[in-house]
Amino acid sequence: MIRFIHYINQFFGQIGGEEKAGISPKMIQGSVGPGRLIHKLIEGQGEMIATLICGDNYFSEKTEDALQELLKWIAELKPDLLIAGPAFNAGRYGVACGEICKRVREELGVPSVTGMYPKNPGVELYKKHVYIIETTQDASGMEKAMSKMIRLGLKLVREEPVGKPSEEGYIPKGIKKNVLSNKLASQRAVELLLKKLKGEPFQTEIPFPEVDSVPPALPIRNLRKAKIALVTEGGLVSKGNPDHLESARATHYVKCLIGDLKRLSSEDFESIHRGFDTHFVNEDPNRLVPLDVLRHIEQEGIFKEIFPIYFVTTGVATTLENGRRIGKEIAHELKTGGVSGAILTAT
Amino acid sequence: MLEKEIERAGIPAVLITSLIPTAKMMGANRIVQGVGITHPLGNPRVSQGEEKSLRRKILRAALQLLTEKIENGKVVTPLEMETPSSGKK
Amino acid sequence: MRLEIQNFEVRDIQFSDRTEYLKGVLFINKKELIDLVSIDRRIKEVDIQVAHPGERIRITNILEISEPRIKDGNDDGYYPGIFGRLVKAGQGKTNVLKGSAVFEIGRMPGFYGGVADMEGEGALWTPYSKTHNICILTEPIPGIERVEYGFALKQAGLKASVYLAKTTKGMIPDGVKVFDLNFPSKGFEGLSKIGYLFLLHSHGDSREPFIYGDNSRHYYPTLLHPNEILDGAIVCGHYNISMSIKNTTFALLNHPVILDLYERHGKELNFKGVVIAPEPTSLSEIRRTAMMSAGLLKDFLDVNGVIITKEGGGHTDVDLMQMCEECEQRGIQTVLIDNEWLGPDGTGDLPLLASSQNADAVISVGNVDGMIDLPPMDKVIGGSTMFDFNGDLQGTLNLPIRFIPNAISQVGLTYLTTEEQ
Repeated sequence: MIRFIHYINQFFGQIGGEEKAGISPKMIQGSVGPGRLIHKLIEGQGEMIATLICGDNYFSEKTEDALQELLKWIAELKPDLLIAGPAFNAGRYGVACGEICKRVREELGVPSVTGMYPKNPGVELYKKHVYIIETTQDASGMEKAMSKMIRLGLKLVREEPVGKPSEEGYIPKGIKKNVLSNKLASQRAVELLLKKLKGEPFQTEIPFPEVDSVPPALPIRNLRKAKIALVTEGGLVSKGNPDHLESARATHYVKCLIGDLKRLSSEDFESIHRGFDTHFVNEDPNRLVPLDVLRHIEQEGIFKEIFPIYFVTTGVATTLENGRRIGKEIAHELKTGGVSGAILTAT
Repeated sequence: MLEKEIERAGIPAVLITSLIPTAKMMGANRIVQGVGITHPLGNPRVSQGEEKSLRRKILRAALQLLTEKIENGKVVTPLEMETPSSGKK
Repeated sequence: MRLEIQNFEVRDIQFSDRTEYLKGVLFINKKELIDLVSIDRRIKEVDIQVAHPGERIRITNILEISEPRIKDGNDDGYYPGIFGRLVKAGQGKTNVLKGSAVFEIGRMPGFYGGVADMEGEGALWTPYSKTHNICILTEPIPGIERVEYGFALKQAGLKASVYLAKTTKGMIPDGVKVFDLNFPSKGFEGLSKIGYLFLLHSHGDSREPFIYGDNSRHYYPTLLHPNEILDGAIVCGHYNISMSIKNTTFALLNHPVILDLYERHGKELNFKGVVIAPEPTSLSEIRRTAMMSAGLLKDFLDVNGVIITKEGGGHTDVDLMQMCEECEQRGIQTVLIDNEWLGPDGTGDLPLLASSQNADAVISVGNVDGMIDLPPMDKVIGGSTMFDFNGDLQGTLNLPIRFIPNAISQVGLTYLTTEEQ
């Protein structure tokens, strides 16, 4: 018999509404509230050993305390599966469900499933890490959601292959896997074009990207007093690449000392970037990191000084996680260095 | 990418690149058009003097953009009328 | 222009004291072929090895792949302008040793080689696990420039291709495929007029294909008859770029988009022709190239729809999108083919490095950063180390898919795609 544990909040745990959202974790034997539905649906295959209840505010404000207790109980109870929620559109509840599902899987190796309405904030935060069954906005879709959650949960417990999001009912994880189609890409392309030309409905395989923009920083108020730093993604390093910067998809950045240097010479600098033909830049590195002319402009007093270090990395456009992290690290260095503005160059 | 993270930390940053569409798609705020992929601030087809002159134009435009208050992404093309080379040799 | 491809099926390859093709078996005089290739003073340590489908063999340091071919009749050559003498490709009879491929194998810092398994998990992802592969192994002489070694490799591979295909001269093929845009000559009314726009990488030496022997960067957008591409007018010249973002000569000769459009020509569509265009290195040139390409498609080929493919890394997503916009703005409907950049775990937010509101129909040929697990093989051809890879290549591997030839194929010669989880 498969051992189930159910996690719910104070409301579904029949303790109270908002006024009880601060209650600390509680463990109850057997099923409570919607847990009774689980109990009914799993009859013959599994049993509900316990229900864990926690107030949404408590979980949100004292997350680690809550988890410490909850995970301790779960470890002792040794369940085969954790079902959390479903949280429908309740934000704090959704986040709590997502977090506990993620942690039981990561720390205790227990498979988990939850359910949320697609606009629940918990979805964006947890869809990559946790299976979230798509639900209605409110509890009217309880039974449907619960049966899908259990169905998927049983597959996870039995280590059976999980089907596509549309088959199983979960919100796509935003993970794309390489798979083999049964048609050549060229064939799919021609057939897609014929559909498009006939005015028939068609589907693209690569959706439009969502641009994530950042509000512009406040401009430099007094350029004459400004410290300007140079940064490049073109892989221009000291000859010999002593810091071993990767030639593509860099995982880190390198600092190149320029001090009072008037220009970058081809004897001392080279580009190790493999994504473009580097010979023009190697002939004259100032074509990528424009120290020579920037130094002239500095000497004319247009701005105060060039930061004595420039920062280098390679091709981070194609690895967003690394790009973000490297960007944050460089930003930190610039801030510490009192830099007023940065000039970035890319191929 | 890097440009965004630096701006996020409150330091104005300007990106010089030839491939404006990519910079825009990545959400860069301050963009100055560079010359070419293989020489963003250069042009192997012209004399050294002319190269330095175009480099100066680009840098002046970049510094200028750092002092401007902007709302969304802004693209500046200081070399609009000039035809760059692609290194056809 | 009428092209007849005469296929001679290769069921097996064996070494022998005579190079000949007999009843589906290609016999190779190893020493003769080695001597022929070794004439080139730019290379040394020439060796020939063969790998068959199903053998537990891993081929490494793969730099290029071509197909044994020769013109039937008086002409003794192939690959006009780069190997054979300059004649117009795409007409007459061409003999092909079908089911075989010639691999150029070598090592040079800055050259990015591929890895192909003939059996097991890795074999599923490359079409070359189904061909009998003749591997031409060479080493560069000390001090040689990278681009020179590239030229030498090219000559070695093409030389071997033609030498082997010569064995079929005057023989009766197993099958013939005819390529002629004039057939059928009636009944095109009501069929969509479709063209193919083929973008070719042109970012510098060792990163470009050769069109009739000349670097792609020397070309402006132009019309080529599809037969010319099927018959050796374009040859891969990229060594300084990974397997996933270049088109091998083999893929060009068996260009799947062109073959597919030909299949449906006169039945479901009217295949009007092909435009080839370079991929320049500055935005203003990219815009000009896009404008001219769209012009050729609209004003000369008069198409309603176009399939556009690109070649190269992230930079050339910009070319692809500019082409898409120009075409759509001129009233030509577009379908694009491209690979995605999603990181090793497939979670990247930006699949492509450029976008356009007009790009509403894109076919994915897979995530180039995806990783693949390969089991150990019994034998390695081509060396157990590669400059671009840390570690020993014979054992179990966790390899980025970009190493596997034609796993990612920007012209669509692959079943690989992505699926959302």
